[in-house]
Amino acid sequence: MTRNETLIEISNLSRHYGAGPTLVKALDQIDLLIHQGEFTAIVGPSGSGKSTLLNLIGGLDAPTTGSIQLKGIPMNKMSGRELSDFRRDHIGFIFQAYNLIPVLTAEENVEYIMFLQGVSKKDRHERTHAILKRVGLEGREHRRPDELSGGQQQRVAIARAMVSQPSLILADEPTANLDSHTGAELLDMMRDLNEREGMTFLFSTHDPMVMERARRLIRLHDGRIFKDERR
Amino acid sequence: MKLLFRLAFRNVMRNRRRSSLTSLLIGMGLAAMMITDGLMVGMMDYMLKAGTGDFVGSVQIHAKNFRLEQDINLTVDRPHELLSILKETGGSAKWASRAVGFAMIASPRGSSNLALYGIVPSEEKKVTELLSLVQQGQTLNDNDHRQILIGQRTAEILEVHVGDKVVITAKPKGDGDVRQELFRIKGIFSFGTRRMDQSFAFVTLKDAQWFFELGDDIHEVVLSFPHPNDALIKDTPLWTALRENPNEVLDWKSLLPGLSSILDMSNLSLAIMGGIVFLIVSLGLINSLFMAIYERMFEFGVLKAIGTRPTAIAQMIVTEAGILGFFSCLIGILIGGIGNYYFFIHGFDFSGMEYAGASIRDPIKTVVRWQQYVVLPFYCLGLTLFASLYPAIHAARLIPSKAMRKSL
Repeated sequence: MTRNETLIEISNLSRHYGAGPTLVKALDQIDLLIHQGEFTAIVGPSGSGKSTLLNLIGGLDAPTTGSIQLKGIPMNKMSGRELSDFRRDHIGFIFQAYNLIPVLTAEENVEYIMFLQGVSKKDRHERTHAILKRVGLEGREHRRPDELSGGQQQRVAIARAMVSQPSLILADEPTANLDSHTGAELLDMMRDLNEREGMTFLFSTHDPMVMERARRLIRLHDGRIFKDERR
Repeated sequence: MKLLFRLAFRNVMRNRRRSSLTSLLIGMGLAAMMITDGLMVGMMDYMLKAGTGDFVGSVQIHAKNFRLEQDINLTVDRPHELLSILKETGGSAKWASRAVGFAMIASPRGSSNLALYGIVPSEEKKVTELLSLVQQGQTLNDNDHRQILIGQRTAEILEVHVGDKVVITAKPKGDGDVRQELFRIKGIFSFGTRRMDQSFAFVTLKDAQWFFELGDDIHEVVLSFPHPNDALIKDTPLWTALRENPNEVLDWKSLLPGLSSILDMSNLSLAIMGGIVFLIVSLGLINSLFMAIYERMFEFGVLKAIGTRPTAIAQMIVTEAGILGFFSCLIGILIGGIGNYYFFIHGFDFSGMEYAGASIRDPIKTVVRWQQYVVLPFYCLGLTLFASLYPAIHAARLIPSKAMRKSL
């Protein structure tokens, strides 16, 4: 897939919670196209639907109506197993709270997805070490998450998200738990990866640092897109 | 697979206190089952040996209908031929001949009804424990004449002691008149049950044949085997030969239907008890696994989000349960083994109790058998894995976004 090809196509996407008087429209009839190689931030106040949109794009939740196609593949027709495989092969996740597997070391956390993909042990080892070196964690491969700082954990999470070279990386408030210096450093690193390797990044954020670096800002309010600006 | 196992193993080890307590719970359940099994098998074995070994024997041979009619005229058909069969095909079996008739026993101070058995002491010693049950006085010898062994309860009723004389009254074989003879009490025995101690008296076979006017006839031949259950193996030359004999041949299951039913029921109650123990253990395990799942809900959400298949999540939970089960089995085998060994040496003291017609005189010792160390742990492990299926399926079905939201 080359830059500017359509990666995600969202049509009439809604996600409602509850019913009757307690109905909440977290997302309401969204239409959106994301292209390969974009570095996009979805911004908006709390409750605007940013995380819901990311969850739906990532196949972590099912829409009430509408459809999402990733690389032309409709996600809402997939079974649980197909969705798992799809996420494993095409989507990388970076979470606000890092969400590493606490009982695995940094190396094993990164290796885990490749293990699921059935990559050989030798390849896993080589790729894991290369990516950990790239995110600046050389020498810390055998530390468990609780032995790493917040910034180091998020670096492991970035390495884990990127190691299988997915088409799309979804980052939900990735800098929210980091100090500004570490946050800026990691954002620059992600931007660099985006520019060099053409990996598509989609952020949900409040953070001005992310907004500064994003080439496209999608503003959400009350579950609807009210502004979509490219820079 | 290796990484998945490593992940499962570390998950088990991350909360060591809970894992240890869960393993201890399952292990204690297994140990309880092992000791219960040892005790039940020990008790059944004891009951069987006491029930058959004290007096009844493993097999009895009588004339047809003798057991039903208790008619003194129904003596064993062709006894010499029968004894030849036993000599030729008996193998490890031992046998003793007996005669029996109903009689009244009386002293100046009381009387009682009983079955008067004529036995050959030298044969009887090889077949039953009867003669070792003499508590006062002496046991019978083959050449004794007009000497009698009576039970403790009979002695109490008649208010007699060793050396006293009693009168036996009975109707002999044929159409003869009732006859009375004087016997001297040589010994007083006790089976440990009042019923048995009142129901029987023993004289030598020669005396019984003389008193009941039987000539050389006998009423029963009692057989014993190294183990009572050997008598139930029917494809032996002995049984083949006995089937062609005109007499009625009964094994201990037919002779002691009550004991047989109790033993069958004991197996059932062991199974029920095992079921209950394992049910409690599995509920504890399910509870523990669910606690672990709810604690790690977010993690499961993350694992699913990054591409772990639902089946792999389920596999991980089952593997965790398998690891817990494995350690539990080790703990259970250790505790159960020590417990079984202790009770194998010291036994449980139930002396004085009567169970299924047999009295318990010695401590019941547990029986150690390989099934306790292989089959029960195997069941335990299987049950642990089975009990983990429900939490595993629950975890596999979690929706990632909900799982991650729930734990926040």
